[in-house]
Amino acid sequence: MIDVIIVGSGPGGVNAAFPLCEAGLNVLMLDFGNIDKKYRQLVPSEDFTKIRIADNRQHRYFLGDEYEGILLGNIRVGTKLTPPRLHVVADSAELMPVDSDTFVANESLALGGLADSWGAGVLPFREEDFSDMPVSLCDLNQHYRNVAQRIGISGGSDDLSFLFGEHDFMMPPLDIDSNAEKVFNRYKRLKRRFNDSGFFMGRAPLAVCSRPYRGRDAHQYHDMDYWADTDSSVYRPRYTVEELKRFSNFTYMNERFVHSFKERDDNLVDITAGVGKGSRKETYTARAVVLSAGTMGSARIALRSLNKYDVRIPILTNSYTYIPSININMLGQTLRDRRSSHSQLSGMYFSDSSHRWPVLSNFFSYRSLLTFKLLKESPLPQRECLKIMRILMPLFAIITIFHRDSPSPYKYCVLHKSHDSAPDRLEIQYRMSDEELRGIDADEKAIKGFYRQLGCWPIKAIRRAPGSSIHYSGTLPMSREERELTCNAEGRLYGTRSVYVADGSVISPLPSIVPTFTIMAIADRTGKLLAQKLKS
Amino acid sequence: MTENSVYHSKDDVLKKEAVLFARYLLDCDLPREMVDRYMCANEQLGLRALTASDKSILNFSVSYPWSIPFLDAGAGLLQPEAVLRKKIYTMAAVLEASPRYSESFLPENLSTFMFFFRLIASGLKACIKVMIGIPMLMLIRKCAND
Repeated sequence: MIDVIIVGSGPGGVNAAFPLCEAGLNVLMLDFGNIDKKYRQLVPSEDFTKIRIADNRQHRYFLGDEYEGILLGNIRVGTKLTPPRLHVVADSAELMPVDSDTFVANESLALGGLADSWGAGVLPFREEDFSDMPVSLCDLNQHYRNVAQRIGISGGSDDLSFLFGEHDFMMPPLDIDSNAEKVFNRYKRLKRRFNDSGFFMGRAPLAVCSRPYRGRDAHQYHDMDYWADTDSSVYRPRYTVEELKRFSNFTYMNERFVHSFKERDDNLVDITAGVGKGSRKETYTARAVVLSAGTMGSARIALRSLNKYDVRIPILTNSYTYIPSININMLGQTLRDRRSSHSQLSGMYFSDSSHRWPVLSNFFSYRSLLTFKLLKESPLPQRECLKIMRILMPLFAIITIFHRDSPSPYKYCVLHKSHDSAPDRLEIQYRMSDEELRGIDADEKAIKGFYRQLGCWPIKAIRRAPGSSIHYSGTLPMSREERELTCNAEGRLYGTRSVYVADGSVISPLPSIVPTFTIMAIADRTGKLLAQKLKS
Repeated sequence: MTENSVYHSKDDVLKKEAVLFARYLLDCDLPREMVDRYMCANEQLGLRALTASDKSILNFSVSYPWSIPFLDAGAGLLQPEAVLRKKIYTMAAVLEASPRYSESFLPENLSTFMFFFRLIASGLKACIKVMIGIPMLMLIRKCAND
């Protein structure tokens, strides 16, 4: 008898599974489970520069066998889905179609979900971020620690740790590159002025090993993190799936696309899943189900199962802007070759004196996403553009900004039933209010000002379409009151006996802080509480 | 013209493009392997001149290679989605992803003086190309539409 079926192998699913397996319950994980079968084995474990001057096969993974890495049209240089990472979104448009002119929906059927190509930032939410949810930071503290121990976190003691706390299992922080070092040194000299204006900078904790941990290697600073995981230092949920497979009471089934659940009169739940992309369906039965198919994926399953077609439910996303900038501190300086591709620094800006709602910015250097992509960003003749980009690159910084999001009647999704064999379609409408847009403009203006004071001069602010941040939440939010299509404090979907949700769907509102670490902590808690309930 | 001769002609044009665009970008000659990669990329990406304007610009640039820098410059401002720009961009990608030419794409660390010298020099060249390229492009487009 299966005790719990978990749908999806993303950060929520694997962290819900762990406490359930540790409690001795029989857990079945149903997952579509796409992996990169082509490029992973081609990428050598060498640093970026050595690969560039030596590897004759580099065109295969840098450009793709079908040249899918040469992005024409409107796709901007900041897109980090390189050919070896494209499996993350493979098949999702076909199996989970979305209709929207106002929202970019990136969904994943990969082993590990969207986190198979995430940025690995692991800041926890603060107490204020839970104010509209029936859980508190106190409820989650132990679960943040559990997850931190499971995934491995590196970080340091600086201004961000006073804001967010330090983790017990912290490994030393990754080294930052020369580009970021100059900026951080300037910040430290002018710290008081920045802090008085509400701006705090530090090295954000990352789920990246700075020393060997749980079978994973320490980060090798090859600057190949957008292309491969040769040192396995960056946490991916698929590593936890491998750990889970060592439990005799855990079963992983891939090529399963879950359609719906149905609660039975005998207190069991049936799950219907398609096998691969074909029409064959299978049914699995368990005492409870945990939906971790992603914010939109879990919403689809819930809406379909409860026959809530054509019903609006909320959807949230962090508004996302990136700002290519020139770091004049690097004029005449040599760019160190040894570096990681990850966020080097994070800056939090509080526009209000009570430090209630921060805006998160991250500082990246640019090199390993390749120079040719920059040619498309400039109207210059490409020969001169190439020469200019080569000399600008050591000074180049990309500052990314995420903004908080709150529900509104103009941000919703609706599942429309398909009347033939085609999949149901999810319509998404998303519009920010004028007040929200003004707030975003004001915050970005302030942040650009801070970075200017740090020597980073913005070239252009590029605000991406809603959804481009690939942070989604709020479709099945936790709620203190029992309302349909919401969850209680334990993650159980109201109106069901034993259907739980453990992914971004439950989070509302969505702070600017990257939600993945909190999704994992909530999932760990949901799994723990469910285990206690099933064993009692 | 038979179907076979049309096919060979298209391939020949692509080979010529590869050689010309590589020379434009890096002043380099291309081995056969790189020409093949460019041709394959064009095929996979569906890079074809579909409008009369695009066809004229591309044909002119291939027939008169001296015009490539100017048409690239003019199109950068007036027609960024021109197929000529996309083909040059594709050539740049193919060149970058090979050990033979990758050093021409890696970041350069320069002294402050050299940084500004090279920046200004490249900027001036770009401006001159744009000033010539814009009227050239407009004339070719006008002839194509007439």
